[in-house]
Amino acid sequence: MAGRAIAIVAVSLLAAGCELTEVEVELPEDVIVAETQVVLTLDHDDDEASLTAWALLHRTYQPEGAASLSGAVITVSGEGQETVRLVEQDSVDLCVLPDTTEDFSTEGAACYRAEATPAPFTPGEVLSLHIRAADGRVLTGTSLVPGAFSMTGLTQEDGHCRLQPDTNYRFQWTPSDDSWAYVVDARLEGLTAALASRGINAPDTLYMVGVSIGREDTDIVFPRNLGVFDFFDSDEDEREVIRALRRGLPEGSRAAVAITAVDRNWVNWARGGNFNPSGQVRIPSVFGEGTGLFGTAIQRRVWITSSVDGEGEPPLCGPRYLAF
Amino acid sequence: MRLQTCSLSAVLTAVLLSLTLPLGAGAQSSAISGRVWSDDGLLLGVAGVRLFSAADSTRQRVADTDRLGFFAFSDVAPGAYVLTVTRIGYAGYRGEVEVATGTRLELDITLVAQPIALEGISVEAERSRARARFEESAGATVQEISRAAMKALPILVETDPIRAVEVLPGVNTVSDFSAAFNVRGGSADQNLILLDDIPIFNPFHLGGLFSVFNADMVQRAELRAGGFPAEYGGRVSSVLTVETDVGDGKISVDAGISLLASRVAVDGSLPKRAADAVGFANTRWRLSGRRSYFDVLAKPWFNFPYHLTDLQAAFEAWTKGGNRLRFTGYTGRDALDLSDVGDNPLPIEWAWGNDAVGGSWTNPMRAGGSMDVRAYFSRFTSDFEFVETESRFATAVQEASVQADLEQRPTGRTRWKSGIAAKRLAYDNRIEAGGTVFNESAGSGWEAAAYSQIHWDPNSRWLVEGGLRVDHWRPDRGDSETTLSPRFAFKRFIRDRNAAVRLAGGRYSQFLHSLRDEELPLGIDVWVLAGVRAPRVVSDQLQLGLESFFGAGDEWYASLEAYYRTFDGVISVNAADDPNDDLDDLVAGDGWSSGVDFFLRRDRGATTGWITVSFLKTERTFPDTRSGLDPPPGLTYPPIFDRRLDVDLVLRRSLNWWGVEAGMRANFGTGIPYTRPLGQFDVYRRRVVDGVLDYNNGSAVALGPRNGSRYPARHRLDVSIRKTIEKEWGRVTPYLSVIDVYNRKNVLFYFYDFEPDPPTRSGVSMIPFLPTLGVEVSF
Repeated sequence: MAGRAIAIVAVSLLAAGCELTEVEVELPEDVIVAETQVVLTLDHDDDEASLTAWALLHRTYQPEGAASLSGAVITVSGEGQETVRLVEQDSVDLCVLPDTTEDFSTEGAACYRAEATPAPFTPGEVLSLHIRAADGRVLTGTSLVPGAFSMTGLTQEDGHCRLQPDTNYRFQWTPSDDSWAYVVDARLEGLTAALASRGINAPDTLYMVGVSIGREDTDIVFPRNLGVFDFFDSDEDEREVIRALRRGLPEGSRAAVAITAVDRNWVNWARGGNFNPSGQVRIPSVFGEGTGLFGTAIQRRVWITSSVDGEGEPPLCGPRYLAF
Repeated sequence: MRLQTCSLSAVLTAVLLSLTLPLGAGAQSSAISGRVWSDDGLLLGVAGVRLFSAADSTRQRVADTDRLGFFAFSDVAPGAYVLTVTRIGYAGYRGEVEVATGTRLELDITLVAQPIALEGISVEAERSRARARFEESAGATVQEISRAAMKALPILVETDPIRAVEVLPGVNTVSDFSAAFNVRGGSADQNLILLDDIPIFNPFHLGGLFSVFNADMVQRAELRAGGFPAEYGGRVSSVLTVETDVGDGKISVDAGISLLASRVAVDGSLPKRAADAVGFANTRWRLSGRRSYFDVLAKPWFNFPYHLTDLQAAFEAWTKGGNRLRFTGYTGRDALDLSDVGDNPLPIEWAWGNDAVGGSWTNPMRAGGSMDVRAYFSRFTSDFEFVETESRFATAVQEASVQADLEQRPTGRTRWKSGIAAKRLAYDNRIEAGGTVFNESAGSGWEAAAYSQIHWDPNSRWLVEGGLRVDHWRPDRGDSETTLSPRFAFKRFIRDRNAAVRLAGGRYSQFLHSLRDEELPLGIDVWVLAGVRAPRVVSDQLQLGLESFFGAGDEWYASLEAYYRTFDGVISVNAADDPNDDLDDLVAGDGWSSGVDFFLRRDRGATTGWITVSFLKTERTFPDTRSGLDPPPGLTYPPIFDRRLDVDLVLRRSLNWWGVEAGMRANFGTGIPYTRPLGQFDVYRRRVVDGVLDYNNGSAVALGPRNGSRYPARHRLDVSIRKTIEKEWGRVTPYLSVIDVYNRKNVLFYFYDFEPDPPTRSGVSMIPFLPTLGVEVSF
């Protein structure tokens, strides 16, 4: 992975002055890309699961005026009779965060969502995806929902716990059957004020992600081990924040953390395949008249605040993590 | 007779003899054999031995001495003869011999060193060795490039033995940016690259741009592209041997400055008193060092803290009894340290390199026999670290070996060679980031090998070679493997032994693989061993060829050879491996290749050189792990090195003006395959905690059939000129080399961009017009 990145950088350097003349080529094929996720979120106390499913239908880049992907019929079915139909949303923003850079366009894309509590599906169940686009194209996929897991050693109250300022905490959990990885991502808030005293120009909200690979890799240090991949995509201000967060969560900040066991399809789509100079290669789990992802996951969520002892504060998540 | 025995050789001889087939003594016929020595105790290889009739001075027989100075003429009719021996750098020998019926004459001939002009030495020596190989080898397809020939080739900044190989028949490269090469449809990791019999695992600097071999230390390079006999194991596709020049024992210095690096090589010998004290008749050593100076030269404009270093040493000693001891050591490093470069967002520390050390003892025995005992250790390590993110990519592989070979000539018409070897290999690869190990694999294994091969020339028309090699591989995890590899070769001489038809075949095996993605123009080898994670490679090969010398004094040589190869147990990275299964990160496949290589070489005259025309078709079949299907279906496709036609023209000529020597290389190759994107789409990052997708992850490609398209044909012209200026104190040789004279933009990559309307295709070319200059100094 790193070697590949360096090879590409090195080639780019060596290739300076080696550009080939740009020529026009024929229009790309119109391929529907369906990115569909089904996440079962386990309740903190009784392990009841709620379902969130969302699908973004988009396509390979097409000339302006290409037909919208609205009007598709998207269903997810379990091994029994249960079927959930994802409902088309008025705005694509309900599937995709609005693009502040305006580098991307969702023209023609369509967002579909469904939520259900309790979830009609269970951990360990095989789910089937069926998509019929408005133009009649059919895409399908299957996924094995990872097994349920529990947090271990975590003290929380209604999903909330506290860290001493500038400390790290090691999340640990039980293995999730059939999971291929754990994605631990967090939305940190209140950073601007929390880091101002150190002269760090921090955004108020920062998103960070970390991963544990394989069913048995069931721990991660928060926030120290998050942000590795974000680091490379960040500007210098954000990198400074990520460096500062390795010491721990600064006082006054808070974080929503999701620990998510993901399936094979999720991992394959995220990590990609072989090298191709024109773009990343994704390993699909949606087949038929299109491509894409049909990923399933099991999730637990924790809300963390960083504060010293105080009345009304949630309990300490657990002992601080000491790096050696 | 200079023959030395010792208990070790007796034991090894007994072991090796036990491997042999029953050998008859053979009928006693008249024969002349002997060894050629220098006056200071060296056994002289590549000396020309000629036998003339004393009566009418007609030339009867010709032979070259082998590496231990041995020559033999069998079936000599009784009578009086004149024997002459010539070798460059020595005064000629002429003597009369009388051969009686049924006698075998054994001679020791000493040549006296004589300074000579250097012009044409290497060409003549190369030609002589080529003729000797033609006469004495039935099956192996061998091409040699001497140091002088390498230096005559147009170069990419530095003279490079491995880059020189790419102009040989059957050899193909996919990128100007990498010296890695493919031979007859084999992958690059199927080439065994040996420095004085020591394998070098990743013989490249700068991710493949240059090889680790300093040309000033190289005597010659030989590529065995196929048909090699049972003594060669370890890789299935080719063997490239790089032989160190240990100098002539006199204190001298060779130095060079190029745009890449400066280098120096010093040679000499032990003081005579010290050599005498340990019983050496002759000693020679040579040391060299090389360092690049990108980091220094670029500093006024930008900080690029990369440098490479090479240190190489060779020592050779001959005992008074004719035994030879030889030691070679090499250490080389590339170092890239971006950890303290301004506001660099990607602080990287990366160090990689090879270390190798080896020694051999050669004991010449009676009647042309010899025993070699060798040991070596070689390793390659690479450690790449993103300092800020605790991300690390580390790889290491190492091999230690002890081996012994015994060669005997039981009769005047047979040569028999056997050997045993024990090897220990180990590897360790690891990728980790942010406290998570993404991939780790490690393993080790023992390899035991034994071979026995016989060379038989039943008459003046035929050569027959047969052999059997047994390789036993015992990995630390996984089943042991034993591979029996029969080898055979037949050669039928025609045209008064100036031409021959040959047929060779055999089975070849190897127990390690490189995971380097050959579709990347730069990269390093990441090795894994056969075992529970990967299979062994077995390749069955057959080749049929015609070769001929023609013209006065063997002015021309031509060969035409067709081949077919299968490859079973090749591997590919499993793009969809299950993290819960630490043994599925590789998938096994198979493949085949076939082709025809034509080679025409001129060794005499004002203009020398060669032309090669190589036709190739090759395919690989692997489970298509990119399909996303479980289980993945099989997929057959041409690998990136499937260049169907490759033509090289190499010329070398001494120009009349100012003693300038000019070199030229022209290359034409049909396009190599690539996978064409059919479209692009945005890639989103999953923000699970928020239940939405996010941008900022670039674009992905929808791909067409794997390697289903081809880049345009490649062609290029490179030229070089060198002028050697003789000074009282030595020689100065400035040179100018120009790569891609007419600035052909050969395609390295295409970049498709489907976002604009209309979509476009741009790309990056191979190395464009690139002049480079340098100077070499010898004194």
